[in-house]
Amino acid sequence: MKNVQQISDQELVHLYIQGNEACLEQLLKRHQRSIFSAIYLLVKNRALAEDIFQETFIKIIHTLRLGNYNEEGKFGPWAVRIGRNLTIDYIRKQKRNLTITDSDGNDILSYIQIAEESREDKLIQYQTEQNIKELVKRLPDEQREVLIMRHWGDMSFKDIAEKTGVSINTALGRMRYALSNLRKMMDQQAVKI
Amino acid sequence: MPSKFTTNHLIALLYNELEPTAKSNLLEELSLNDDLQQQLNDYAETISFLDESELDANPTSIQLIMEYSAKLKELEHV
Repeated sequence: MKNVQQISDQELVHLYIQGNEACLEQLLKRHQRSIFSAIYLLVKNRALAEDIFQETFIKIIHTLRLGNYNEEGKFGPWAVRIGRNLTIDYIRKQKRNLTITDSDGNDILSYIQIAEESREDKLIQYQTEQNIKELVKRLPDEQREVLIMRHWGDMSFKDIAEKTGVSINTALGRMRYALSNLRKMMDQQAVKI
Repeated sequence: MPSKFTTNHLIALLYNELEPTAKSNLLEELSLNDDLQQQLNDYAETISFLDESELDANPTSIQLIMEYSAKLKELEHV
């Protein structure tokens, strides 16, 4: 058998379903960062993000074991979508009074909801990632939404356009403005790239 | 002559979402257009900063997930 590091996601999924636990570990290693980042940037609370991250993989494990996974070759974006949807569900439960929805009936504001600063957030603000977290939070809602969906959510601009009800060019434009604004803020704060 | 490519094309290129012909044409244009290349570099640099700031899940979370999966496997074999 090949080293697990050389195996495609699709094969890892297949082998894991057959009972090879090392394959799940490899899938976790490959995708934990993008999944966790997508969750954390929505909830802004590490402990909560860890809980939702674990819940995400429990859902993934059950889906795989029940044979309900059918997105061959696209494990990463699929897993990120599960994490993001669970996060949005959580935020919805917390903010039941938000009623603005997109064409799919999803709450638009839940994508961009910024959780209130917790004590834990204040404690971790000195960590390395704090710079970008703070800068992303300052972006206008529609720019932050596209940035998170594309960069951490692994969604294509086409998918983002459909999800948010705008044209692909508008989604691209929002991403461009998000990156330009981040750049300006980094220059102003002399954040080292 | 002004470029037919916009900054939106640069973003699509950086996220590998340009169709092959457009990508090829844009890469050719970039080799001739210093201003466009500089814009691309600026966006790429900002994106690299985003990449560096990605967050890792706690190793304990990874361990708990692995333990959960192993336990589920045991139960299935009982």
